[in-house]
Amino acid sequence: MFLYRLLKYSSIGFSVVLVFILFYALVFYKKMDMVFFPYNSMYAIDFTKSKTATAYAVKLNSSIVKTTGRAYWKKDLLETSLNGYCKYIINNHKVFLDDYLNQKFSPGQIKEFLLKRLTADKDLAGLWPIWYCRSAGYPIVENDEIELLQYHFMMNDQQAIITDSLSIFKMKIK
Amino acid sequence: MRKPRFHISFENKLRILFAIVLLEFGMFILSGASFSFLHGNPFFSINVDPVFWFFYLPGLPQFITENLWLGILLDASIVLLLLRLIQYPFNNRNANMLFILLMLFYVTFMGYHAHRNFQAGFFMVFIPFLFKKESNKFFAFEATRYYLLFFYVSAAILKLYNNALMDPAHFSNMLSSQFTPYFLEGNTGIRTSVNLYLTDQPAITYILYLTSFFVEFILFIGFFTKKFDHILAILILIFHFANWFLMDIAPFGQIAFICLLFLSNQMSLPKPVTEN
Repeated sequence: MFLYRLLKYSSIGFSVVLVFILFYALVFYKKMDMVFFPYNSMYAIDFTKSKTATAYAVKLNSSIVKTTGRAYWKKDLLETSLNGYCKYIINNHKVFLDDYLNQKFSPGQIKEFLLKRLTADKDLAGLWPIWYCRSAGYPIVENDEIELLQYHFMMNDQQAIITDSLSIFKMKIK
Repeated sequence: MRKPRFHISFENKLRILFAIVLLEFGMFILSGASFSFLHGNPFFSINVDPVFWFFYLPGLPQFITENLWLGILLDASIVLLLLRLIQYPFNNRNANMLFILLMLFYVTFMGYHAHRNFQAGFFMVFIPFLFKKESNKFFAFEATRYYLLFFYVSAAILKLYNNALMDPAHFSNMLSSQFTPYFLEGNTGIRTSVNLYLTDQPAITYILYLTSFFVEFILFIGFFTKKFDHILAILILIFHFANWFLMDIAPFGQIAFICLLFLSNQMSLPKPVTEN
């Protein structure tokens, strides 16, 4: 009904809405992502099928860099980007788009251009832990040591139990 | 010509709506996560998303985060434009600029946040106000309203499609990972206690999950009538605040978008006239 009234009112408006719907359907069909999709599938998929969890933390000179006390967006930025960066480290310094573009494009200028623009510079990305600590309010000076850690949790009897921890990255400030 | 009685009230409603966007963007600035605070961040990760690619291919977010002065300028511009829009809520030029700037901010923030889709409502809320002509505005409002309804209904459909409702332990499993950084830091309180309790109570979490499914699905009513838009808006807001309490996912960035439903009566298209 709305689309019919829109068509009667403005063919341009109707075309824009139609293109949007078709584009949305195509992106969804191709299993791509889009800013307009419900985020995280709105928790419709249980990936672990258990009461386990993985978390990451940064230690500066063996003390944990605390972020959960910060205001919401800062806390969320530091928490989620840390997850993303640790996965990048674990995945041999690759983000999802590295794998995707390598798979979809044959070697050449286009692929190089896309990789350059759509993924972070690998040399600069090595400095991210310094940005993280400073952004969390921890000054960094010479000889400081930054370590990224992965923790595995098990929730049992109303307790959060750490079952395993692993150091995934270490750097010393020169 | 006499203005309709609701006109002033509608104008003030728009002011309140834009003030909510200002508060939402203010939270990004005050918490230290706006454009200027992303300065020097050398790592981003985006997905196969054409909207993101559109901005990252010319290197816009990368350029902004490299230049502190640009970040400060953009933050200040957004705040000033929002203040201007609150003063003149029918000015579509300000709405156009805010739509572009806030979309750019969303894309930049999400890329450096290394996260997939999130609270995108704070730029989508401007879609109905991009147009000058009233009838265009109303048609855009209708389209945005349908999209908003579809957004939540599709989340309910995804839950059905993935058989999530068939697994009573589904939500308690999900909750297991929501507060782990708080446990690592020893920053515990009422929310972490409730989280630990619920991870051990699949029956209760199953009821909560079913409730969230019904709240999302009930928005389907909105495709047929606008009569219940106020109730639907309140239900989604409660749903989002419950998400913050139980899952540490705050609704900031989405509140103004949901509040569009409170404008449904004032932004209705005129009834089609039938000729005899």
